[in-house]
Amino acid sequence: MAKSRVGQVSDYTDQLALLASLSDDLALPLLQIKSSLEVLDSGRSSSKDNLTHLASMRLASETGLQLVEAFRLAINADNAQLPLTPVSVGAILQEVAHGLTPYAKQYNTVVRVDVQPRLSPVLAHKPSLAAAMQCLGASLIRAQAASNEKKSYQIMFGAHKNPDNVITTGAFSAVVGLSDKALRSARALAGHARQPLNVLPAGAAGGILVADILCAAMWQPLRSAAHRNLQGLATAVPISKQLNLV
Amino acid sequence: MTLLLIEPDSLLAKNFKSFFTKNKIKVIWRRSMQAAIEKLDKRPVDVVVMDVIGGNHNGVEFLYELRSYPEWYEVPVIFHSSLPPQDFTGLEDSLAELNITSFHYKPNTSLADLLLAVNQSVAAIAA
Repeated sequence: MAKSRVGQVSDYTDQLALLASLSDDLALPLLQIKSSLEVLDSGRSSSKDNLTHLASMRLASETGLQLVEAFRLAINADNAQLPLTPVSVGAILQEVAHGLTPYAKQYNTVVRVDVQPRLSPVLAHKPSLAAAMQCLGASLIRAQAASNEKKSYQIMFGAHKNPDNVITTGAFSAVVGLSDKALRSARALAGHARQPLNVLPAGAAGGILVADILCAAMWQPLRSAAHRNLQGLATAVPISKQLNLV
Repeated sequence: MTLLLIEPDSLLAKNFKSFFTKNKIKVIWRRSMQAAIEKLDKRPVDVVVMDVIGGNHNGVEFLYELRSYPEWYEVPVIFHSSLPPQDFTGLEDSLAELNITSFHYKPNTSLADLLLAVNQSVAAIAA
């Protein structure tokens, strides 16, 4: 189990464990849609409120579907060698941030991207990297808004080169307690505990575990990291010497 | 009637608030158990509706704290839980001790069902 959780979802038991962790994350958007429909059904709402509810339901369904797609990528990650191609981490982070912005706005969260200039391209499976960052970002948006009583929040997608010639990339926020120890514990508890990451509310841990598997299938599992004074989770991407010349 | 809602998810809370406000119930919403305790310190409420899992706090611990104050012992508390009932097997005595008015599993409970439970709990206290 330990081996598979760090990189692969190799057997049926592991897939069930991951699915169990995902059930809360998938239940949340469905509950949001269900309650929005009930508010709409009750009538007495203005046209503006009705439009807001429709937009909210669309975003909830999209977020749920993105998580399902990421889960599919994760369970297939070890069935075949992922085709890695040269990609720009910065471009992917910009794309993910742009896609998440309307969702984040509902949680009064601003999404920022901070990428060190002139980072080399890396070898990655683009759909997996984008899905991992999307799941990680959406989970942190929900977790941060649930944990702190503030009027507005910030989440940052970041990437920077380390002295040991790797690029650290991930999502960062004001959520505290996402340590390496908490992650190790979550990997072991997946499928056995309702809240494998007990520093996060219900409906946020599954996305992080999926992101962890996707990153591990390409490079390394997620680790606790910091970027611009924010705490978060990141993966380390080795810089290819050949791509460095591109 | 004033209701304290403890719900970590902003979108669920907004829908809840919208529905209950239309039904003439004032809703005070807090995301975390700690913020709820601070709010209760400042303003009494008629009923509490809460999820068992909070942002960074356990709902049962919150209830032990709430019930430790005599003035809050009788306030009806309704669980609107993201955990299914079977997850509470074996905890029946503890929950009874904590004076939980009713338990509702989120996926199986409509806002209308919850409104009914809230009205019944406040009516029972007033009787």
